[in-house]
Amino acid sequence: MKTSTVAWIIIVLILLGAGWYFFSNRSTTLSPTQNIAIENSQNPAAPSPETAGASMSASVAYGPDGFSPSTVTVAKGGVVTFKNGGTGKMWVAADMHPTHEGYDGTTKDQHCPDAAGVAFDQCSVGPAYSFTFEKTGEWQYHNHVNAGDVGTVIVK
Amino acid sequence: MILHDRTLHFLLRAGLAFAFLYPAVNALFDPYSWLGYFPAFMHGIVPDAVLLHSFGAVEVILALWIVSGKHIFIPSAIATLMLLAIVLFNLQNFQVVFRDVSIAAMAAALALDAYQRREGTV
Repeated sequence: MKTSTVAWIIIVLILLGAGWYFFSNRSTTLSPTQNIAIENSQNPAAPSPETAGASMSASVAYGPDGFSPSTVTVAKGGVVTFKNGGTGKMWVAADMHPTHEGYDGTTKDQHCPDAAGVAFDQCSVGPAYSFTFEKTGEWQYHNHVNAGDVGTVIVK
Repeated sequence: MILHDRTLHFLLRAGLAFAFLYPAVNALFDPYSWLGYFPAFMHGIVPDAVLLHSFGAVEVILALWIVSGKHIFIPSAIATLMLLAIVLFNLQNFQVVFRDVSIAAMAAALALDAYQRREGTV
């Protein structure tokens, strides 16, 4: 088989794989600067029955399987507490990795340490982290030390 | 090979090598940012620092090998596979790692070129 043929086959497979992934998993997300509330019905990852509705507080556990529950809903001004129950390190931060500008528009280097508590960024590894969400919207976050572990906080 | 071709080839190799040198060096100053890209199954086997900086050492070796141009098929092929693996294990961050697809194509081009030439040096 000619080398160019092999190269084309690889390229086509990559494009097909990327297309499958994006069309099967991705949902439309708004720019974080628009700060628009998103209805639960538009969120493909619907919150569990235990966290349905907008309360003023929620807890998320972190362990070997990631964040649980992966989606929580709180009212504006509500507090979400993240606790590490596993052996791995936890550093909760707003998307995208590694710059964390998804919540307040500033990067990790600009807002850490987050003394004012406005950036949704733990800014260091630790066993627990609490953040008060003063902005409505759908806020994706991840573990900075293991960026494959992700979650969502819906603020109404 | 005329000078013009050698310059172009070196430019391609240098660009590819930089993509491996920068993360290895920057990880010394901002380790957690790079540690986050490792898939979950790689965590916990060895201390995170060992994982990160061992991988960094591999990246430096690979980068220097690529720049040298010797037996370029091997490091280019390895680079292609590493970059594609980084993308596959970080699809949730594709907005960040999408450029690795382009860099992998550069590496694949180098490997395919070497395979066709069947030369050890350039």
